[in-house]
Amino acid sequence: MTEYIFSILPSLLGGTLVTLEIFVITIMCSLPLGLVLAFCRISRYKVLSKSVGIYIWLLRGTPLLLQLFFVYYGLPYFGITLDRMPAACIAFVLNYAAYFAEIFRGGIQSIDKGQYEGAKVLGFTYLQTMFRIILPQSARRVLAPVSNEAITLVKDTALVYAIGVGELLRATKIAVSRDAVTTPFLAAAAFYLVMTFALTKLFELLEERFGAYE
Amino acid sequence: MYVIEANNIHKRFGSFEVLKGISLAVREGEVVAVIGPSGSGKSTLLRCLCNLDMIDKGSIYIENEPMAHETGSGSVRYAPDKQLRKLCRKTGMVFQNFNLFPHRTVLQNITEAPIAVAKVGRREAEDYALYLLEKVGLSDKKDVYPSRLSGGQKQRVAIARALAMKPRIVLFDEPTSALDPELTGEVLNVIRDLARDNMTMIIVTHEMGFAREVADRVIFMDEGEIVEEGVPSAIFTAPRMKRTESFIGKVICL
Repeated sequence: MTEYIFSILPSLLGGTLVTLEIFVITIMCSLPLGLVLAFCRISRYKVLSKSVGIYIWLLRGTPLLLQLFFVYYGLPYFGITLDRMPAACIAFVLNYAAYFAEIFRGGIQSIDKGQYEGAKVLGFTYLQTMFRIILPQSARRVLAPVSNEAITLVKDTALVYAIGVGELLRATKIAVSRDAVTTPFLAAAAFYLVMTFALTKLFELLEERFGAYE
Repeated sequence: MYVIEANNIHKRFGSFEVLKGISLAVREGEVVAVIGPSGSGKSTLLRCLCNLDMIDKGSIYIENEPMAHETGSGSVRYAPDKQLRKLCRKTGMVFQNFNLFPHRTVLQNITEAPIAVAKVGRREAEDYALYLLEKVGLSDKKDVYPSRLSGGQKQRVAIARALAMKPRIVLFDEPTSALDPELTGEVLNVIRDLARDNMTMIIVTHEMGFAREVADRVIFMDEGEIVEEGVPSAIFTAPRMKRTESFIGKVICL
């Protein structure tokens, strides 16, 4: 048993690396993109705010798997052909940015308007107010929902299996089919659990750090 | 020269006219107390003077420079953004609810604007902040977060924060209304000290005794108008207008 697990470990680890790669790329790109979208969403320019509203509706309102298929199988019809991995990352970034945008919008709008007024009478510009006063306070409030999304993302990466990216679940499935045993599934579950556990701890630390002033 | 000068300013929210032609000019070193019933437009007046609310008619000058002025067609033109921010920096504002930045320590609350807006060096900003903290009696609290302070302490930090930008005039919007009664004294003492230092101030307040004591001039507002103004002794003991008399009678009874 132990021996068997060790024998499949390299391929599972390889799959985990791909999973982590998708995770890191998605987080790194969708967080800033989500922030930009959130700013657009609360912008007083109606066209901008409405278009982003529609974007969010589309991306949250359709299955991520469908979006993945669209980017990988659908875009070639429009003359855009992407490799599996870039296609997977683009779909994930676009999808998660929509969720993050709504989380950030909520966080920004939850800050008391007295904070804007306090900053304004001191002469802060809008951007200074945002980056020095509003966002640092919003950060604390959005951490919990962001950690939810991050944990969901770890598991959602398994979806890219459907377009043939060799991530953890695919590596597992290959081992299961080849060796006709179910042990790899358990091993994969353990891998996912370790990753989500690490994330949970990381966010707990961040919450402590950002909440120090309360 | 007036530090701040408002001419015939009007402000409406929807169909409700909050300010119906207020004119007010404050000289350097003058302390003006604004009193009047709730909803009389006192706070809105202050908010217009520091550009938190925009006026619909009239003009506002800060040290003779126009913040907002009426054009020929009767609409109000505000100064361009940059100029507006420059002018607004000359007015400090102290809010009823303090509006301290909860994620910054007491010291950082005070140095944030001098560093970010006035581009003062960190060392210099901190030295001045420490001096101000000593003035308001909170030197020992410099490294704590606002959540650890009492209401009176928060308001004293807010005053120090406003002073850190070296304003030409400080506007107080009911600075003690959100405080427990036993904490108002410490805040009023700080304002009293400022009056002694000849700081120019407009104070919207319900503390009649305090208004009478520190103000050079008292303005009584009701329903968006200045009903009466004069030296405190005249307003409080010999009001000329019926409305003033009835208001003073009511609040003094309490």
